[in-house]
Amino acid sequence: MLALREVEKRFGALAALDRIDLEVTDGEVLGLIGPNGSGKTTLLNTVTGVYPPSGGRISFQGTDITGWKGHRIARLGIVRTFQNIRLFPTMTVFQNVWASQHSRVSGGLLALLRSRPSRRCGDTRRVEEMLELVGLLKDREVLAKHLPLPARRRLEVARALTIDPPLVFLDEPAGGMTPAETADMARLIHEVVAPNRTCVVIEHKMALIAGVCTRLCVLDFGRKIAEGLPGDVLADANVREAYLGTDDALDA
Amino acid sequence: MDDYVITVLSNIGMISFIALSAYLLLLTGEISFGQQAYFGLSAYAAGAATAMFQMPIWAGILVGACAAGIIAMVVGALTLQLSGLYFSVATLAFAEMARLILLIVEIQVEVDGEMVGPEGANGFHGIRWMFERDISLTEFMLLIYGLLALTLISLLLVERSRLGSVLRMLGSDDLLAEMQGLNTVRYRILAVGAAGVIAGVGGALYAHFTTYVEPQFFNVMLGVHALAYGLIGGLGTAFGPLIGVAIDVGFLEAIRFIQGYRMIVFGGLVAILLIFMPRGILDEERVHRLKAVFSRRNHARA
Repeated sequence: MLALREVEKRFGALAALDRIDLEVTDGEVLGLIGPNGSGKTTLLNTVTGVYPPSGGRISFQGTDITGWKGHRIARLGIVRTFQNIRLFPTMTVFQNVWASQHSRVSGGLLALLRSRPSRRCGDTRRVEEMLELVGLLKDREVLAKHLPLPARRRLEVARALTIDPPLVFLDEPAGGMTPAETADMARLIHEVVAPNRTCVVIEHKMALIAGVCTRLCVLDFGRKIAEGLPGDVLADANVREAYLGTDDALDA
Repeated sequence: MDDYVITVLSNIGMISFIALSAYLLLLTGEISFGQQAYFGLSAYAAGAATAMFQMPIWAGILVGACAAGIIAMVVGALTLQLSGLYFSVATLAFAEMARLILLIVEIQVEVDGEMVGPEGANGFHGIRWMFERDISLTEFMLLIYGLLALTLISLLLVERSRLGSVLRMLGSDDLLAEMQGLNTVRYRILAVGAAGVIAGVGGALYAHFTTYVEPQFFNVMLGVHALAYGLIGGLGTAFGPLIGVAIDVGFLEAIRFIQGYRMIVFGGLVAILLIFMPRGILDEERVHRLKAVFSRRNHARA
């Protein structure tokens, strides 16, 4: 589905991604793990076109998307959430999700002008369905900036799923959450995000990784150091070494 | 109404166009110090259309607005690759360039035995459409407010639609908009063009109201005011910049004892508002709360 061939990203002398080969297969939930600064988010940013790779090729469903602009890649159906949560703070919960459909409206500017959130139609029902799924329907008229953190993360998930994309990247979906909230997020990913699509999860929290991922890929200093089934990868000595050389970081 | 009141009201109306123009760009997150250029270029183009080529006024306004829109899009395509402050400086540079060009342009044609047309630094005299047709000040004021209402309604409709949402997305978080499949550069150029058209309508009206335009009027202070109106009145709704204009041209101009100190009071007002209400009186949050109050009332009535 998504294939990276020798992808490189350099910032000056620093190789944030060092010749990464990675294949994401149809229908899997791939966990992308690694210590802070190992290049996980850089990889995501490179794939989604925030910046172009310095070298290598990226292809999605057989299309070479190397160097494409972000909006074109997004329209192909690669959707993401953000580690530091990006929402439109002064838009309502409803508007934030509704906004993700804009690029899918066909018929040019006139269609964009005619379409309003107040109109009952398939699009607005779809938004409500998504809000229902993540448990935010009752907050639909609340401004996004007034939501507590776990609700904001769930709102990002609802927004990502609205256009039913084939590939979703979740960048630390449980970042800053309590263990109970993390368990909720894991359930949401398992029951709502993962079915019928391919999913890449960047995460530190083992509770979430172990619960939802079908395969793991480990980055360290911009290199891929391990890849495989979660049980095998987490037992790997190199992986344990990468996490500060301590065993407890992984058990936490 | 006496002529003074009509003149003040007409000025409020015409300045509102440039305020709405700057507001549209503020929505998309661009601070332009150059909207006065489109106001001025359109004033010249529309004046030329009616005074030099005997076109009717609607054609003059159309010519002015289209010229302003097209030039704005060209300038936008060249400058929108720049971000933030660099864009602002580029718009200012362009506007000054346009003003300096108007200072040297001299094209005169003979109309009824008289020479009419822009005369460089002496300005452009004889845009006498109002006198030739015997249009009263009150009638012209109604024309101004008719077109202003049309512009305002269009903007309010845009704001409620997906297109308006796209524009606010650009202003709020450019990267997030891009990551949701929106070609941010294309929508920005569209917004810049529309803003040029709106400023152009105001400029075309201005030329015919005063019968005389000169490059000096379209200096950077006009553009700075245009920005300030949105920032004072609020960026949550298109009514915001109109409130800004009403406060400055209406309220401050009307209070005679602060005449001469108007700029000081206005400057202080901008400074205070930027500290306490950085997105103006009617910012997004207050507009949201107002809407909630109104919709609750409607529900109660139903």
